[in-house]
Amino acid sequence: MSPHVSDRLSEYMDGALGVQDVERVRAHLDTCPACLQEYRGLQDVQQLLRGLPAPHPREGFMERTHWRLARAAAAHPARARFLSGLREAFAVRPFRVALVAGALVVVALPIVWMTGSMGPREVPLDSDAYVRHYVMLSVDRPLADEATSTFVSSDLPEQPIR
Amino acid sequence: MAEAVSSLVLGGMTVSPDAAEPRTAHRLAAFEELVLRHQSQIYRVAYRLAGNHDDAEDLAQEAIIEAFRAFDRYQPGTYFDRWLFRIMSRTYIDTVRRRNRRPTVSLDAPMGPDGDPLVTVMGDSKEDPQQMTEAVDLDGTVQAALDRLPEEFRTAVVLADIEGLPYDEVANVLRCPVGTVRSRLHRARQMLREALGPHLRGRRGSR
Repeated sequence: MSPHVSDRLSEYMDGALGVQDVERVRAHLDTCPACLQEYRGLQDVQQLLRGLPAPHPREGFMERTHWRLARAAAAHPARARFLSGLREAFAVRPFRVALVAGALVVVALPIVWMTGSMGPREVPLDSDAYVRHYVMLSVDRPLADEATSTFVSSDLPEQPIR
Repeated sequence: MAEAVSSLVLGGMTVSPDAAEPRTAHRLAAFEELVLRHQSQIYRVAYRLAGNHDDAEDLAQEAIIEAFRAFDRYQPGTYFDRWLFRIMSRTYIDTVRRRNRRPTVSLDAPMGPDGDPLVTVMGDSKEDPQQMTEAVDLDGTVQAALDRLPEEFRTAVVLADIEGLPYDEVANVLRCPVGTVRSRLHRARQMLREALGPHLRGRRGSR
């Protein structure tokens, strides 16, 4: 008798085997009562699971879900706004991002050359980071100052930087 | 602070802070419409994974909230329910791991001498005996057998045999290779076959 096919029975049942394997399993099932019995058992399990009644959520499930969801949405508006802003900037309008990135490179490269420090520098993103960057640009390149402020100032936050 | 800087830097590209609230409300409405449309599938999977209505409701809601936070990553036109299952399966595994680290003893689910829940043997004790039709009894027995499967196996068999997802979709939801799904699914069905032996023979005889 051919070797047992127990390992392949689920895939056989789901139609997930290649033609050759299907033939091999079918031929074996014709001659092996043990594997055939296991196969029938697996079929029964699947039928049983497929026939399970749909569970009904308790009354008010969607209302309770709505309130939890609304609370969660209200608790993270800033985070959601930040993330969606990021995504919008980087996913939806790649052209605009490329434009801005290009402008930044054009602005930053001469400064990097002039200060003589090539390569990326570790700049801590603390409360002074923006101001430092701004001052550096405006001292070295008035035009860069103008360019930077134009694209940043269109939407300055009302509250000062914390 | 990082947020202030980023909103500043992104200022020219993103919506202004004032416009954010209607935007969130709009997203929420669109999201809830999708949830509403798929609520029966969502609840069905949550219930079969969690095993009871209390935990199912919790699991479904936590997954829904997680999904809302990630809603920007959902691609319209793709299966919303499968995308949500992906989130739910991770929420579920996380919940189970958290619970296992802090084991609780339940008076409602007494343990047998070998640590197995007695509920498995006795059926769902919360059901009103008068309402216990044969179907409900069988449902409880099958659910108890499902509850005893390891989480990864249970998730695979629920998605494949109850939700009817193909192997590659199950693999996508569970973030594992298709080969892993094949073996988990087969093993899960074998374990169910052993656990449900008498019921299966009864069904076969009656057909």
